[in-house]
Amino acid sequence: MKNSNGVILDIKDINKSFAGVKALKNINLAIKKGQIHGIVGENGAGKSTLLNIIIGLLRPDSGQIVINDKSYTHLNTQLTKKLGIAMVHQNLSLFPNFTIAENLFFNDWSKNKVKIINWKKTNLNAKDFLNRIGLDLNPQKLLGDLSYIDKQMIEIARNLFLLNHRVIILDEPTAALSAQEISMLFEFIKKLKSEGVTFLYVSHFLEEIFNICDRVTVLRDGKHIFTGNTDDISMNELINHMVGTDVNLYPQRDNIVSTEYILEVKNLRKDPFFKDVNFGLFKNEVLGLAGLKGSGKDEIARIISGLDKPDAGLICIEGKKHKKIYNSSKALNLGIGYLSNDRFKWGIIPLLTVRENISLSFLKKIRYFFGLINLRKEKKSVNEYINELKIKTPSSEQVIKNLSGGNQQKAIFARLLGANPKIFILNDPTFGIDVKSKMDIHQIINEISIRGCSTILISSDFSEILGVCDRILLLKNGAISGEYKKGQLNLKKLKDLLEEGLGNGK
Amino acid sequence: MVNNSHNSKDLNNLKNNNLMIIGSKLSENFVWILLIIIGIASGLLSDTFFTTINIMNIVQQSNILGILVIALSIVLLTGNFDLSIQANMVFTAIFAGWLVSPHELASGLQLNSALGVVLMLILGGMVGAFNGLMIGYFNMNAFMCTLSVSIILDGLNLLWVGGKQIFPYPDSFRFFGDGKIGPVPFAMISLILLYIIFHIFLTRTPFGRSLYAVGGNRLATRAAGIDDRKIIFLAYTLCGVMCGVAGWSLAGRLNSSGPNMASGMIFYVFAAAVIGGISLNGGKGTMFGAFGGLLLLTVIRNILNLVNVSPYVIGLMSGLIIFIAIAIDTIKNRYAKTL
Repeated sequence: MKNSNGVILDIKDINKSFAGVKALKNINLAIKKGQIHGIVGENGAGKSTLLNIIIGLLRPDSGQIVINDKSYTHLNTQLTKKLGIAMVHQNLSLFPNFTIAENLFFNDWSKNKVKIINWKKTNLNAKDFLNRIGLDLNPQKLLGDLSYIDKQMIEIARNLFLLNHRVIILDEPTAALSAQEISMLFEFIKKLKSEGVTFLYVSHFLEEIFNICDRVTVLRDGKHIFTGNTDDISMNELINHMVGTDVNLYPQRDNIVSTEYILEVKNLRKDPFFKDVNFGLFKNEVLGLAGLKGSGKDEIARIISGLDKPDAGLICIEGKKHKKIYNSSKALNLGIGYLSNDRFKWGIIPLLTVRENISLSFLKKIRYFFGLINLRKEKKSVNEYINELKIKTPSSEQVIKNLSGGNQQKAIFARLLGANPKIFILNDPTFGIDVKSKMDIHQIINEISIRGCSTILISSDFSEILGVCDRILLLKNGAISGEYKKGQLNLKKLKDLLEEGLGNGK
Repeated sequence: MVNNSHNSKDLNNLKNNNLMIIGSKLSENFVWILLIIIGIASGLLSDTFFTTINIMNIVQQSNILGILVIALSIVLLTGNFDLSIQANMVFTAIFAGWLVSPHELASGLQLNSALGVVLMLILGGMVGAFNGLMIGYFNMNAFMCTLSVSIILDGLNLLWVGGKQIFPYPDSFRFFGDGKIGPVPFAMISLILLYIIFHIFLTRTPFGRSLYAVGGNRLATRAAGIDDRKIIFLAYTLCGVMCGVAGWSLAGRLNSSGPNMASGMIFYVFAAAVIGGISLNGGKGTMFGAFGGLLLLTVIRNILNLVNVSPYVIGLMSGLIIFIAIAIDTIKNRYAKTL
């Protein structure tokens, strides 16, 4: 009982380097029992390294981890399980081909005397459990049939109750949740906190940190910068701690939009998302498409980019009409480039290097004799992009999966720039990345517009749409329901407009 | 002073980095290290092993297997399978015999060898293109599609010539598989040339690069504006053409062709590719590594022959050695991950 001030997890002088690069430098951090402790920092600040050390996936080079007064030089996953530390990942680790009940009770079935799984009891237990946490779901439903939101709730729930953990690490738990679901989740977390569960809460959404965390720690470049009560620090101070300088999230933008359409969408229909969507994109414009989940904004982006097919309608590019755009390489030939919101699935090629990932889009332009790639030219262009987009990587030969999320995203953006499209379709380009990378990407969007390109920006972050776009279209009830110029809307008004009349809208 | 300490730190980091790079290079070329070890052991076991004739023999013997390894690797890199390469090779060999041989089962056309070769390569390419169409464009399961194509081709081969052989082939046709330039077998030269060409092709052309990209992440490649379906289609087609090349060499070497001329070879093709570091999951591996895998496999069979191991035991032994090689590779990969 030496630790009388209620420290459950004490991290002492932790160091860790990868390939000679220091990822963590002398980190000291004490997590108090029954608190929600936020951890923030840019990508590359060392958050994931620290978390991986805490859950026993990585071995620190030096230092100690003290849990319940016992000191460890490193942990492993079996040990953390025994000690009651669990992590809920950004990428879910559930079985889509199992039912909810099977997922919940995986490895921990209700069995009868002869050790055969008792399905009736298992399903009943699952139902009870789901009721307890306020989820109205049929436990016999296949997990793969659920929405992402429900899946995530199941994942969190599975860790929280069945494994009976005392320290839960939540890594970006709200990244894909709606406002209502976030408050549900928060209620749930607070309830558990009152029962003595400790949380480590990692999020890029600083509002959430202030909303739910008792204490917050800032990491920057592998160093511990700040730890304190959330009541004692302002949002701006926190951001300054994270970035190290004063910040301006959105670039200044002069009105340079021309009055000439480069792209027009006419009577576009895609069941069951939208019936009749019409809009135009001006040259040099950054056009925002705001809509709630399921409004079909993703589908519009994918149809224009040739990744999906419309049920009806026309797409006019520089006056030429297209019924559909057959595939993405056709789209690119027409000058349309696409950036997906899911960089793991649609973005990075994990095993290839940063160079190979970036140059993929312009290899054909740097061929010389016999159609071979001019490696010198390739390296030169790639390095230019790395500098221009401030991609943090030891070298262009680094395997891209070793980069942080924000830098991966910037590399994918560099690939897109390399294809040299005239129209950029950006689907949530800053989703789940750090503040600094966000600012960099906003700056690039501004610059491509100055260079004469046009952008359609779709974002789950409404303040980003308000901050970056020249014009904003609201997508609701299967059609464009409103059009606003920059400055005509604020966050609250935008949210109200999108949410009002929902439910009776059909 | 402060500056100095900073510099030495950076230097240290650099050194560490270099060590890491050397380590990863070593583990990438694991197969060559294994080959050297087994080579030395073989030299100790047999006096004839390190003679020029035997070394040439090894490379020449690996010719047909080696060409099929290239064919398979192209498809494996895209994250797909091809089980029909052996049947396709035999199919093209019989077809070429039918075109150019004076045998009674042949067409009687007795075409010019060059024309015969071109047509057999086209046929091989067409079989590959069919696989590519089904798998790339219609999303058929690669395993099942190529397995059934393989069975169909085996059946066609039997139907065509029954249990008989088509022979002889004209000398001009046979040169590719059996000819010599001075004392050097052409099969050795062609094999080395093919590996160099395909190494350059895979690393230095946009198409080669996109094979890795499709195998690494098909959807991301699509989003980057590359027609992933077309890449897979072309990969299978090229694979099929290479089966034709293997068939050309095989028929030339044996001076005859029949349905059972290469039975069981497909397993060694997979083994060589995988030992050589071509990932079954796609997106990873080099021609250089595959060549090492190929040589390793041939060396093992060669030394077992040289020390007069019973042919009944050779199959068993090679199977075991393949297993051990892949087990070591797996352990090595696990170690590399924790590093």
